[in-house]
Amino acid sequence: MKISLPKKALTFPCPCRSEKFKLPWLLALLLMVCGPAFGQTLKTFKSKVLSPIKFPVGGASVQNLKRGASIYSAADGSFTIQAATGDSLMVTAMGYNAAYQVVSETEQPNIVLSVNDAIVQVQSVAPVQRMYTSVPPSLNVASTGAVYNADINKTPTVTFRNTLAGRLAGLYMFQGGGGPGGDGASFNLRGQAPVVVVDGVVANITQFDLEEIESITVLKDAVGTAMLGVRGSGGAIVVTTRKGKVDKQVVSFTAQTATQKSMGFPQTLGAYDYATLYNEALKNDGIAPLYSAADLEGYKNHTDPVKYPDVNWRDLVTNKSSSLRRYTLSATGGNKFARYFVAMEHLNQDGFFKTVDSNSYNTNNNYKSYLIRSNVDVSITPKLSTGIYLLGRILNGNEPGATTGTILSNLLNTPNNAYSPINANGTFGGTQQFQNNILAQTIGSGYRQNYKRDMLVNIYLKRTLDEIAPGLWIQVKAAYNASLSENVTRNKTFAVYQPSATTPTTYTMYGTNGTQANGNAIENQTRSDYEELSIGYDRTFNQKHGFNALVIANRDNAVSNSDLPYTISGGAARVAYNYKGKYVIEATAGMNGSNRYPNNGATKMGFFPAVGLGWNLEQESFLQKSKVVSRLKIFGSYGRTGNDNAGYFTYIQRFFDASTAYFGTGASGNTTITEQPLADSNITFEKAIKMNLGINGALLNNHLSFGVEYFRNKYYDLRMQRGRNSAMLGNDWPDENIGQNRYSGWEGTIGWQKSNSRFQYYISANISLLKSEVLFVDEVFRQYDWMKRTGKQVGQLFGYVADGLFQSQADITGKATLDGYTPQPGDIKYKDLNSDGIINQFDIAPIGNTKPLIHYGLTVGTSYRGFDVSALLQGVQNRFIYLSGGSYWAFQNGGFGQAYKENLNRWTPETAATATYPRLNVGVNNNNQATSSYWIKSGNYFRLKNAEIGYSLPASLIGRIKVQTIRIFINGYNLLTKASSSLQGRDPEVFGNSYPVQKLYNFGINIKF
Amino acid sequence: MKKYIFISTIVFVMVSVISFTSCRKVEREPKDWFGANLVFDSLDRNGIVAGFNLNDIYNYLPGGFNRINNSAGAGDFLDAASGDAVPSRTNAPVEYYTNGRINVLNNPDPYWANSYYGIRKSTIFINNIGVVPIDSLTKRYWKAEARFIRTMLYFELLKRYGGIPLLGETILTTTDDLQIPRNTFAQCVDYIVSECNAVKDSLRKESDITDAIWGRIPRGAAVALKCRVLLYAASPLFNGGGFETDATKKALTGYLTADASRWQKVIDAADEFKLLGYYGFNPTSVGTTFAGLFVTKRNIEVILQKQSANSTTLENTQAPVGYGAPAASQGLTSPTQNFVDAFPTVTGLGISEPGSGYNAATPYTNRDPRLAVTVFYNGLKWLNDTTRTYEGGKDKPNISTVPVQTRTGYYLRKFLGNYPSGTTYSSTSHNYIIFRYAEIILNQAEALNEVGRVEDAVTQIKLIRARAGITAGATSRYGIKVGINQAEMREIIRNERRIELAFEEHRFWDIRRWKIADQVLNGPLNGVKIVRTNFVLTYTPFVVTNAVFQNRLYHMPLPYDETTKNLALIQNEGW
Repeated sequence: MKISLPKKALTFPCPCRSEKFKLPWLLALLLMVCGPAFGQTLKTFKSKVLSPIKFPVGGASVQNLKRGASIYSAADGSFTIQAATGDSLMVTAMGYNAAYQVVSETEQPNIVLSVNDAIVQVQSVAPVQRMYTSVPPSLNVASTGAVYNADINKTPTVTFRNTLAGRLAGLYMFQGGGGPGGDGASFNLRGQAPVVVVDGVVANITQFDLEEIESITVLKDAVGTAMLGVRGSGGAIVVTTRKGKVDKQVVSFTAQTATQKSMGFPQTLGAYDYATLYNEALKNDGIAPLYSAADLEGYKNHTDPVKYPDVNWRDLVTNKSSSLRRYTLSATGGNKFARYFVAMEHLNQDGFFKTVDSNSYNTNNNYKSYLIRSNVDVSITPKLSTGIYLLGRILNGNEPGATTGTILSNLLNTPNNAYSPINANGTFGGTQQFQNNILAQTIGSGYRQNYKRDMLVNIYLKRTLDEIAPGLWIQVKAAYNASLSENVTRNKTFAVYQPSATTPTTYTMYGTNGTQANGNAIENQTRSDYEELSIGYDRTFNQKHGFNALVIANRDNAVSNSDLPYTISGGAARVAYNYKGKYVIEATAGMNGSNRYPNNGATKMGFFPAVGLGWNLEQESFLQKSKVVSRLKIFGSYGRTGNDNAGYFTYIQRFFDASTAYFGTGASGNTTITEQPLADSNITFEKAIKMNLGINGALLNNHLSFGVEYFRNKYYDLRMQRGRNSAMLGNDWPDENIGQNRYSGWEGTIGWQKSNSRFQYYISANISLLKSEVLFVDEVFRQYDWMKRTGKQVGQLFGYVADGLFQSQADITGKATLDGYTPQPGDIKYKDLNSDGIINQFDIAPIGNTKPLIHYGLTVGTSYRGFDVSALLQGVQNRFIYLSGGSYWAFQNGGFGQAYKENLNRWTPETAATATYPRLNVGVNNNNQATSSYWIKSGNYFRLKNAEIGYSLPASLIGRIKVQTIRIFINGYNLLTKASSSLQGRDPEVFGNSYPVQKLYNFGINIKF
Repeated sequence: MKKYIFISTIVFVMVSVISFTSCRKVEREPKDWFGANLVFDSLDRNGIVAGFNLNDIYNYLPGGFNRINNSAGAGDFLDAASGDAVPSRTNAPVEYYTNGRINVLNNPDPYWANSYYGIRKSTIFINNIGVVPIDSLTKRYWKAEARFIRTMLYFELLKRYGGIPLLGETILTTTDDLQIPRNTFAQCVDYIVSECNAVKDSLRKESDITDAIWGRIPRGAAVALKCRVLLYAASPLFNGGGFETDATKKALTGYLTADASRWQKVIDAADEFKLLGYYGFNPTSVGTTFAGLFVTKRNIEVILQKQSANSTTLENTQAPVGYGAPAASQGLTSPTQNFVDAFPTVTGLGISEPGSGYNAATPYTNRDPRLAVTVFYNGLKWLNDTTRTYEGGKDKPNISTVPVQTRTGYYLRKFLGNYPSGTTYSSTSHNYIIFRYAEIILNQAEALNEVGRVEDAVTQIKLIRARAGITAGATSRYGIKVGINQAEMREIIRNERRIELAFEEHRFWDIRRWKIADQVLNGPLNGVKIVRTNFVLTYTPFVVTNAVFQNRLYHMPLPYDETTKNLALIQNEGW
């Protein structure tokens, strides 16, 4: 191909002097930023991007490294870019290594990319996925962040949620449990819960094949999410699935098998320690000891395990490890008529409960999924294209009949000496208080299954309208999602037997030995349909004025069970203009609403506009020659977003059934109906005003990249009950649109990367600081400033301020004490904030953390020849845990509860100096169990969240067997954790009786042919 | 130009598609939902739905079984805070009343929100029932029933807090000024009395209440409530005897000055009650009637009950712990030795009085027959077995696998079904009695004694004792000595009230209104340790716990939350 030289050298005048400049409203902005003219001879560089087998690569990014301008290749791989001789072009496309091309006077060949098999992801210049569109990175003025397929695949997990922890600035992930199929961490994006958008459709689905995800992008600011209208306030997680490319077919098969181990769990006390401490606690309460010396001896010597049981319940019913297996088969390829990506996956995750062979069914917790993905794009004519994207899921769960949650909470409710799991005569043991034998609940209570199946269809038809105006197109899109969740119970009851204290061969029975009771019920049935019509216009005039417009009308209609449809309808628009890719202005807006408003289910419409500005400084003459600065962009946005939180027709004052009333000597039940919580007929959306400012760039030939952003978001019209919700009203107060919170913070990213054909490495870090402040809560009367909620963090914990333990009777004398409570040595001492000599509601102040939350992540990776290694570290600071209740305090649950290792370190006169737990007592203690800073523990932690080592067999070895690549890999999840020692081995994320977070060691092989 | 036409056409199509779809004929609001217009429906000739609304208001009648801190399963009886019992579980919130831990934030029985919720619901019914085209007689009954329950709730607040805000016929809305001050004690008493007077003739006559609608408010209930509120108003604590130094606070929690004539109103109300006819003591054989009273739904002694379905709940929570499923029980209440000692012998004489026939070696023989119906003591028949509360006995095994057992050597027997010889429980009627005939008699006796008509008081007490099965004695005075003086008679009446109305949520309030709580609830609460050696039982009293009482506990503290939300509320003195 011959590069044609332009007839006349183009000179770029200062835009404000351009005669053709027709947008005077931009003038002011451009006046500020226009730089001096630069004289460079530019020509139009034309070429084609091809895959290794010479198939065209569409959508590849071509960037002029010298000038910053970037464009994308067309479907046939061709592109045109302005460049001067000597400029360096970088061509990148997902799945390929970056290719570099120096523009020369001579004929240019096609640019052939090489496949990137290394799993080490170096800087991406892929287009930024936004709502309903994608934009080149340099033209993006929204606050975004993205993770790509290679990184997502490194985490052996069921939902893609867990793959995001620590990877993106501003996104804080919290994993509250690790049960089979239920390990999804919760999203927290700049303090809010974002919506999940899959291929342009809002769909809260996070549980599918990780290999089918192309990228996950977070949209954090107003200009990024305003188009979502009343669903935009929380931000968005935009998931793009893999599509076929014009390329040779690649079939990929991955098999993985992982070993799961539970992370920390509270460590319970042995029976002897338990009984000893129990007696001590009773003594402290002034009550005679419960356990005799003979009892204690029995617990110590384990002579009679039936009479003196000492059962580690957790060891009794759970295994140390369990397995996770995953098999994924996918195929992708295509030509200019049709392109496809299809995948199948089977995943089988076991839980940790022990099973017995005598059951003909499985009682263990288990999760199996069968997923099918089919993404097909078809070019019907060169101008008309269509696509059908399908996802089918079958998700099956299993658990013991008594339910996993019940068993887990019983593990922490049941002391080691409560009863013998099996009596001398082989029956299940138990007592009046403990009629739920944990072993029986695990293996003898039948089983329950959950069947979920759903289908998501996403279809579009797109026509380019170049004949009307070049760059104009129109598209219709529809999506349908049907989901069903069915519970099958095949559980049974069991009896437990307590041997008589005097004659152990006679038993008292509790409960009944039932037969298996079978039932099924539809737990949840939802369906939703989505329709969208969009018109877009994308054109650059005179190589200067980039213009991009998009208008959308859409309607999202969701039905859940027998509820009336919840419909969000309206439209959205986006207009973006850039001058030579240097100055960018973008306006987005959503105008929609939902049908949950007065009167008669009307659709209340809201208008949510946002505007963003960007300035690519590297294109200014004063930076153009810089050897240091490769890219530099200043950007910002401001706008309003909405959150539809109307509930289910809460504006209607409803009357509904209440408790049954009884009349008549036959005590027959009678229907009742009563006024429901008061309705708020002035209900409206929650809203937010968001501001985002940022700077990002790359230095030293793109090796060092960085970004810093600041945001300040004010959420208002939040629905909440008034603070002054006096009960004298006589009913529950409605939520009203009165709350106001502010979230603000800083986010920073920095990365270093270097690569050549054999060796590449990168290191990148992100850190986020999130600050929140309550602006309005309709504060009740507070006597003292420290009691006020306004101005404090959102969700600030309040309680007494602990001041150590009372060490002696003399220490107590003269100290302020809890109203009505006579403390003893070993009780918690509180600060008397108002110095009135009494600890009461006026001494309640903010406790726990009052500083902004900081979370961070660090990723490193390298590859050399066939080897690749990567790791992700993730951590959080200024987080705290309030340890309380039956999973931390001794002898809760009405005095029948468990006790823990840390209770050994209780206060006694002998251990007064070192005690970390107050004196023991049984059950409730108003002084020591009052909400106070004593129970605040550091929740900071630092995890080696993920690490992977992979090896790709050399081509010389596998070429002969017609296989493209074979890669074997070992990765892990939650490999190392550094948390506060005050948690006593508890996991910083799951520290109570939820299913423990799992640590995984995963081995896998991937074959592509 | 063509472009613009095209684009406009597209936009037009888009807009019309959207608006067209929203014009479809669809259900736009849930049509299965009932609003006020369907509950109070001008077309509902039988008042079916309005009747459902009234049914719910009945749910607000006060109950009393296992009530305190019942959010987490079975709670405790309020009487476990009166000195008559202690909860078997240690550190139960009901003990806050006797260990001084009650404060503005920590009151297990606030009853504030619950009352005002019931008051609102009653007023909604009263104000709206007018539009429902039911027959006028039914409408009159219904309206009166709702008004009575509303009045009852005001009384429940009054006895706890003193004067409270009276809302009248107002249904508050969120836009109203909710800074509403308390009415004085006197205003509240007047209001309750006037409401009782207003509704009593509109309520059903007892004879008109068929078995099918048993539980509906009868006329007697309105008079009984009036009698009770007047009794409280005449009592020492409220009748000018308040401790408050601040006159405003004193007026909120009682009359500023004493007036002995307030007792006469009690006598008159009791007389008015008796004129209703219908009520009396069961004429059947002595001894069984008292036990049967609490497990029979319809009874001429019963004025008003909180109705409930038959169940074995009380047996399962209160009976002794020595039985297995399905009669397994938790024995949650431990009556005190102090309470057991309050029962006279069958002669009507107190156990320490000469001639009573009390023998400390066999303490439960020849006692007032009500003792065996009220508490489980060692040796009492139950489920074809014998209660064994001696140390190591099956109902007090002192072993770790039975961590909850009696703390005093006794369990609560009252209200439970009659199962001395059965082998298991069957569902039993457990209606909670709010008013019964014996209370009216005791109210009148107390008032008569206070106005100096001591012998008239004796006459009333004799009725109670005769029904209880106390022997009449040679003087036919059921143990009451000839020539008894007012002070002595006062003690007898108070003791009679304690044992007759035990565990019916009277004692807790009685010791307050008599202003004796600082004496009777400030000291040891005893149990009995029974040791069995060679089948011989020895009984040794011991101190279970020491009760403490502060004067501020005579009135409950207003919930702290409410006082910060409604700054017009004045907190009671001492809190």
